[in-house]
Amino acid sequence: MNSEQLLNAFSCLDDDLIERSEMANPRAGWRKWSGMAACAAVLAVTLLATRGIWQRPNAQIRSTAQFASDYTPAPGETDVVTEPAEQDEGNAEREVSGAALMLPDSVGEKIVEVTPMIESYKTDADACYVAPLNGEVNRSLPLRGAMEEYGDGVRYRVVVDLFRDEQPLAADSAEAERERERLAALGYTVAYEQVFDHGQPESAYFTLHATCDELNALPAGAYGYMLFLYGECVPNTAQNVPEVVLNGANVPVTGTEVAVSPRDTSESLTAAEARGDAAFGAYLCHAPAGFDEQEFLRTPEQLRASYRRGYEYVDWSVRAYGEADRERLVTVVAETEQYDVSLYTIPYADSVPAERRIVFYDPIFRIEDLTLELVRARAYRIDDAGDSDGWRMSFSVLYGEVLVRVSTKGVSPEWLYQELTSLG
Amino acid sequence: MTDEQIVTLFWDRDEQALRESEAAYGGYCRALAERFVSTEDAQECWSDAMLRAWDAIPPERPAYLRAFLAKLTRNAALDRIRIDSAAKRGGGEGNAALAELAEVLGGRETAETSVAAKELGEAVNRFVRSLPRREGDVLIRRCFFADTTAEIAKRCGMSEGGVKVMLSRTRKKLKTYLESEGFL
Repeated sequence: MNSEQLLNAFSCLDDDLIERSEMANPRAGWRKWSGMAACAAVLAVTLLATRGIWQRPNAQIRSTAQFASDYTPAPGETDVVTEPAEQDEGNAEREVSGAALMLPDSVGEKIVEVTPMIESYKTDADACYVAPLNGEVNRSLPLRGAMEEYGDGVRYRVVVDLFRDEQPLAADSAEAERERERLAALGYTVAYEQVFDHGQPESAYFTLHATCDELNALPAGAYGYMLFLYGECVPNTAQNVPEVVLNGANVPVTGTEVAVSPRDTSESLTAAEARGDAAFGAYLCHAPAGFDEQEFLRTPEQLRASYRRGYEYVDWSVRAYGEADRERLVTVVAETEQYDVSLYTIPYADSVPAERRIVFYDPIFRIEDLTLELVRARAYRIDDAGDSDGWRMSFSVLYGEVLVRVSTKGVSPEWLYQELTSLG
Repeated sequence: MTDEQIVTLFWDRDEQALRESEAAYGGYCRALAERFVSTEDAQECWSDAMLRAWDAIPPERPAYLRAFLAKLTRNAALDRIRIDSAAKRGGGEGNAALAELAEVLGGRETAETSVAAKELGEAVNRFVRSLPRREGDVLIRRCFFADTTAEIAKRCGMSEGGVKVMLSRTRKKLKTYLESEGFL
């Protein structure tokens, strides 16, 4: 292999990946902290985490002000440290830019690498969550989104809601304290944080500062763990500026509200959840042999399953049959010219009469009419360099009032027929 | 005109599809080609891409027309480099990306071309999909679009140093992945 071949290989990226990279947006869910204090706060959090101070129960920590006085920005790092202030925008997100910030060592000119801490992440979805069972670790949608986007290059500031037998335990309870000690003994960076409002204790939190790997491997033990990003539980409220006590030392952190936690309405499903869908779960196919990648999605209108093997795929969607679909229903199967791809040459746009195209491109067959011959009539192959030359098929099948649409590349007509006739 | 409407024009064999594609994505795709070849060659690459799109749609019905055309244009540019190794190369970022990928091979670069392009492409695609979104985006910007690190930093809201660190780490991961898949 040579590097040109490797460069060429990037031409095989899926279109959606390429398009996604065009959408990379620095401001969506991505806000830089302002000025010295912001950077110092990052340093404080990160250095504390790396030094493991919070793993020792009675250790004292330095305030962010002390860290700020130690910190001197270096030339070339102005994009990090001199952004106009954005910190006081009400409930604005507070995140630290970059997968690895390059900050100057306070002693010399040497640049040191500091791992950013993610504590909030914006998602459009609303969600509520069920209490985790003993031994389970569940994560909020923003935390999941952040872990997916930033991966291992950062640390996450996480609030732990601890449950036993699905009942919440207070962060200042003896059991929570023992859990913190257990996790600390396992090498986790844990903290007990109190929020004060006008000098009065308002809330207390069990928090973790962890990497993606640490969160994935979190041993729940005898308890249920519900994990949130810090910003979900302690939003930045400009009118109310309480302070947080971290094991005895004060640092300026804002916010007093605590998020409610009760059913995840996430659209992404596991295979079992998708098959358990009351309306459409019974109409999903099984994964073809070797199609290792799979994804299930529920929208208000439809249930979708997608299986992948390289360039080959099975896309399967299930929804209610609607009035607009009627024009594509093949009522007379004997009229093969409506749907038989072997009767036309590629490009179909030059060979299929215009009046037949609506049905031809996506015909709907009643399950009662479906035969292996009919499925074969929708199958074609293309010898396309750089792509799979497997069978390609696409059409829809009507089961009463439920419509299943299939679009496949790489599976046989026999497999597809078998799956379609075993549903419902 | 929306992508869907342009694709429909292709399906209808309406040459207006080519004019609409030119208006929507001509500049975008030529700029991409110029990362790899000279300005004049970039125009020819775009023309080649349009011809390939005309042949491919239908039966293809790309969901992301811009990405679809970008891939065709990039392929045309890389083909041109292969055909004429003395081709007038473009701004140099394509070469820079190429040089960085040589690091992945870690001195094991060979002249032999027995590695199946399709399998390697599938492996790279799987690898990129396995990455966290931002990391994958940064790699795509560098290795597919040949963006400079400064351009990536601006696009992704990162420091340029952060982009370089991330790319360096990702290339190491890619090397490990290709080794595990038997390509290295």
